[in-house]
Amino acid sequence: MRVTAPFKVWLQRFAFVLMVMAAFGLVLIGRKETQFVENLRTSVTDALLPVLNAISAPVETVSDAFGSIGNIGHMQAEIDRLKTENERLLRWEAVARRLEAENKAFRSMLNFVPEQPFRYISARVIADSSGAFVRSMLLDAGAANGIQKGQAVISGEGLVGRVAEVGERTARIILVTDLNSRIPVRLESSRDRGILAGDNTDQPQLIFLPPTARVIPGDRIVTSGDGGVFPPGLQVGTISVVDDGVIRVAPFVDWSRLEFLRVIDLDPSGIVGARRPGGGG
Amino acid sequence: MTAPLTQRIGHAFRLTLPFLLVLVLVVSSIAPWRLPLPDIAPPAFGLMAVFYWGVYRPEVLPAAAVFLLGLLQDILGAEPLGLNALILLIAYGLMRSQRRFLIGKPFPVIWWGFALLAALAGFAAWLATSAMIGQFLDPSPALLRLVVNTFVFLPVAWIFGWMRRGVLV
Repeated sequence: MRVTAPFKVWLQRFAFVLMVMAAFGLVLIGRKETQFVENLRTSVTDALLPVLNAISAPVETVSDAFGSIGNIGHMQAEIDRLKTENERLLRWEAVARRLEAENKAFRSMLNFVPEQPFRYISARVIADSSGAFVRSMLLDAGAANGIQKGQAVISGEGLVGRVAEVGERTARIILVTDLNSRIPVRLESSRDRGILAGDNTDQPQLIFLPPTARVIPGDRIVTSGDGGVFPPGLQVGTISVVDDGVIRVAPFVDWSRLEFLRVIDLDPSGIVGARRPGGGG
Repeated sequence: MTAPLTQRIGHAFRLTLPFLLVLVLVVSSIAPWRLPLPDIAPPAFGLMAVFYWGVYRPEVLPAAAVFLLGLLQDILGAEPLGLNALILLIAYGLMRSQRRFLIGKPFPVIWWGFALLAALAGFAAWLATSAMIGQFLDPSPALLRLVVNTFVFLPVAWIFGWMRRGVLV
C-alpha cells in the first residue's frame, strides 16, 4: 500500500506541530517540576556514562599528546622553574611544620574543639557541558561513591565549584563562575566576609562585603565555611579588579586543564559509617 | 518495481546516518577537550544539522529526530528542559519553508543563511534564558558562540555534503 503524497505532507505537518507542542510543554513542566527535570537529567547522564567515558578517554590522550609536543621546547625552562619552586616550597614546608606544631600546642592549651576530619572523593571530569549560559561539568562518580548535593569540589589549584545534581554514577557540578553560584568566602588577610557570586564571566564578583572592608587587587580569597557545607579555608582566588564598587576575583583554577577533581565529604560518618566493616560498633 | 529486501534495509540504514552522525558530534562536543581557549560553549552541531538537512534532505531528519536532538542538548548542557528542542524545531520549520529559495544557491549564500539562522537562534536562546532567570544576561558569550558556529559550519557542511552526495545518493 502506498501513502498518497498529500497525506504524507499532512502527516509530516502534524508530526511537526505535535513536536513543537511537546517541546513547549516540556518548557512549562520544567519550570514547575524541577525535581522531575533533575531526575531525568541524572538518569540520562548515568545511562550515557559508558559513552562519555569512551569519548573522553581518547580525547584526553589526544589533548595530552598535543600538550606534550607543545611542551618539549620549554622543557629546560620548565625544569629550572620547578627547581626554584621546589626550593621555595621546601622552605615553606619547614615553616608550615613549625606553625602546625605551634598551633597544636596552642590548641591543647585552649582546649580547642578539633575540626572534624573530612574525606576526599576523587573523580574524573567526563564532560565539560557548559552551555551558552551555564558553566558546569560532569564527573564520573555519584551517589554510589558517597557524593551528595552541595559538596565542595576542588582541584589541586583551588575551589572549582559545588555539586548540583547527583546521579547513581555521575554528578553534575556548577562552577564558581556560573550565574547560579553563590559561595560564602572571606578575605584571607582581613577576615572580612562576603559572597562570591558567579555571573557567567571568567571572573566572579565579590558581593556583600562589609562597607568598612578594604580591598586591594592581589588579596587572596578563601572559603569562610559559613553554612557548614564547605570547609573553611579552601583557596578560591585573588582579587583582580576593584572598580567603582564592582570587585572581581580571578580563580586559581585553570579551567582548560581540569582532569581529576576532588569532592569534599564533610560528613563521612553518614556514608562510610553505614558500611564500616566488622567493628561491632 | 521493488528492490530486494537487503537493498531496502541498506537504504533505510543509510538514511539514519545523518542523524547518527550529528548525535556523535553533539555528544563528543561536550568531551573535556581542554583547549587553551576561554571557557565557551561547544559549537551548535544540532543547529548545523537542522539547517543543512532541513534545506537539502528533510526526510533524513524528521521533526521527531530534531526534537530528540534538542532534548539531548538540553539535558547534557543543563539548560532549561525543552528550550533547545523548541528552538531547533522552530529553526527546522523555518528552513523547510525556505528550501525553495536556498536549494541550488552557491555556497556563500548558504553560509550567510546559516549565520543568519545561528544569530536568530542565539538571540532566541538569550531572550528565553534571560526571561526565565528574570534579568538580562551578558550577551557576549552568545556573540562569541555565533562567531565560533559560523566558522565551524564550514567543515561540518563539507562533511554533510559528502554524506549527501556519496552515501545517501
